[in-house]
Amino acid sequence: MSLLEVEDLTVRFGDAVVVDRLSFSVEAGETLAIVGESGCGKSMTALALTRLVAPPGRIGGRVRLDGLDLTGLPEARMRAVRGDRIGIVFQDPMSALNPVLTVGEQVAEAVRAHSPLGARAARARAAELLDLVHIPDAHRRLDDHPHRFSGGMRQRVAIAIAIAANPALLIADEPTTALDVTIQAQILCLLDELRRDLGMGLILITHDLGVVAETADRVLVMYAGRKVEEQDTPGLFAAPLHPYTRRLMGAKPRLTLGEPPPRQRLQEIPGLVPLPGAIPPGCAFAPRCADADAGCAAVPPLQRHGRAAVACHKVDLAARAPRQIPRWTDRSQWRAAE
Amino acid sequence: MPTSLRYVFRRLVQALPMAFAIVLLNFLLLKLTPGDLADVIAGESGSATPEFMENLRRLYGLDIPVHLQFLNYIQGILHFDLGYSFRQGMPVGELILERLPATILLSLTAILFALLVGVLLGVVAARSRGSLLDEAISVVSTMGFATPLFWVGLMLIVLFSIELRWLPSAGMVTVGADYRGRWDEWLDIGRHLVLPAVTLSLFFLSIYVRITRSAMLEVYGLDFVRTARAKGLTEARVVIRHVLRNALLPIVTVTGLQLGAIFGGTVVVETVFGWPGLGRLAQEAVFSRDVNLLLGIFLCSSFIVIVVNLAVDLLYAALDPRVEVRQ
Repeated sequence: MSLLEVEDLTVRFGDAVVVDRLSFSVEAGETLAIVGESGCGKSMTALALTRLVAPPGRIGGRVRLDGLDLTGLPEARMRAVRGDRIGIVFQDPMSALNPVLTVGEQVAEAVRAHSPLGARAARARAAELLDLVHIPDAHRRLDDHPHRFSGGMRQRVAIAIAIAANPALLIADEPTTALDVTIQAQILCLLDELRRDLGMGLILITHDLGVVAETADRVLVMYAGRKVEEQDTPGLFAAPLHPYTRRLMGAKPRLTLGEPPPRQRLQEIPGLVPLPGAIPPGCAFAPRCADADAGCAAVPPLQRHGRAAVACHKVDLAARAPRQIPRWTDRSQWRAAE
Repeated sequence: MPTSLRYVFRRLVQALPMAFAIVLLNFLLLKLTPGDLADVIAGESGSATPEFMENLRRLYGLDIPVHLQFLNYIQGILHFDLGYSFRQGMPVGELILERLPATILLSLTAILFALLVGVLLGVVAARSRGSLLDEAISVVSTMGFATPLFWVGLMLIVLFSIELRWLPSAGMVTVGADYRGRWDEWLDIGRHLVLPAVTLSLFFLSIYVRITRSAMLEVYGLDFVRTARAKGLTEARVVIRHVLRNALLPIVTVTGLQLGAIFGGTVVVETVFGWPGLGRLAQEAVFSRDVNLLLGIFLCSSFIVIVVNLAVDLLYAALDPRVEVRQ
């Protein structure tokens, strides 16, 4: 049994379907990246897992954490899961912290929400947590307010809050998007380190394939609220299956050493992600896809082969499977290949 | 902390020019009214010789140049000598001191009541946004905002004093009451306080309802509220500690701005309810053309507003840790 099992997760706002029958699983200690353009339902998936989707949004499907079905849980019991078994880190650290409470108060509050610790013990634990996320001089910074911290430091505080109760699953929703590049790497390293040390499952939501290559074990590519591809990270970078994934990779600038390659225009994907409620029938990507033909008017079924899956009429996964997909364990190897 | 002490000091220094401007304006008002004190006294005596007027002017220091008169005026203020009220036959300072406590009691009660009920209703309205309850609160607060104070006061008197006979309609104490101890007296004052305080608070209460509601709704949409929910906090804790705590900031600002207006309100309410405070004294001074007394009241209430605004600013700095940095 996996740590997290998601089955047919659906989020709708009225008639608009934002997340459409999404299924995936996460193992303890594993990093799953959810990738896609803005507006494809990634963040809504994160909120739906913890049932934090604001009304009038409605959540359907099943979410099981350690076998416990979260979708049927009464709100009071769901609150006990939130922050305790599942921690979330949000995108913008500048606004994710309460400006009028000290950092110590905010971390201690997360500690006390799920433990019988007294104020003093919670404060001590808060200092420990800030230390764990590498905030220098953690003890002395407990009484500072968020405006005295830089963006990267605030994101560390937000991470400390998310892991306050030793959650089994940590969801990081674009945790580095709002940060400087140098800080991005630090935060990713921190998340990876915490996942390893605390044995958490990690869901990393991002639109940055570089981030994926750095940290993820497995990748789920979303488009217009649906899963279009899922693969191990090495497999995905070696042989992306779905045309959308291929175009995403093509749109990524590359830096190379040595002889400059012939000048090449960065490929963009024409058009925009369709808005929820205006998703075209059949394959949602077809209007932007170079390979699309009349066959794409039907919704492509998700073809599975082992742990890889793809939803495209143009790809025959079973036929391609015999092709050797590299199974590297050492990340540096496939990073080099990529 | 030295930073906050510096902030207090800076705000105090900033208040000084304001105080001087008020004194100057007050003095100019006195000078700009046609005729001087000698004319007023002479006019009332019916007949006065030029020598008598001359004597009066010398007596009240009106024969010296204006800037020296201003210096005298400031000197008087520094000694809390605000002149003499010929109508009441008492020094203005003493009159004001005598009436001030009643007005402070009335305004403070009204403000506290308005804050308590207004914030509570605002929170309820924001929590039940779009519901019938929200609409009802909105309609009532708009009415409270738009209805003139004196009318509300009169209607409350008709209902609670005349029809139901629950509460006294005028004054601060029961005339000829025989109190058995201090508690009895406080209770009597309290009963007299209810109607004027509620009347005075109604306008401000309506403002607080609307500000609280909109501030709460604004804060609800902010990211840190989602963080608070993601911690697994109870809804009550999210609302009070995270949403309301931040929504308080605009409420405190508006309270500071409105305190001047509440002094204006006391003139009407104290007159309607016969409350023996500064507002009614001001009304008496206007109708008896008691210029010295009126100016003394202006000055005194202006200073009170300055002091209270200062206090509100400091409170704001205590509530919002970002304030000192922004300066």
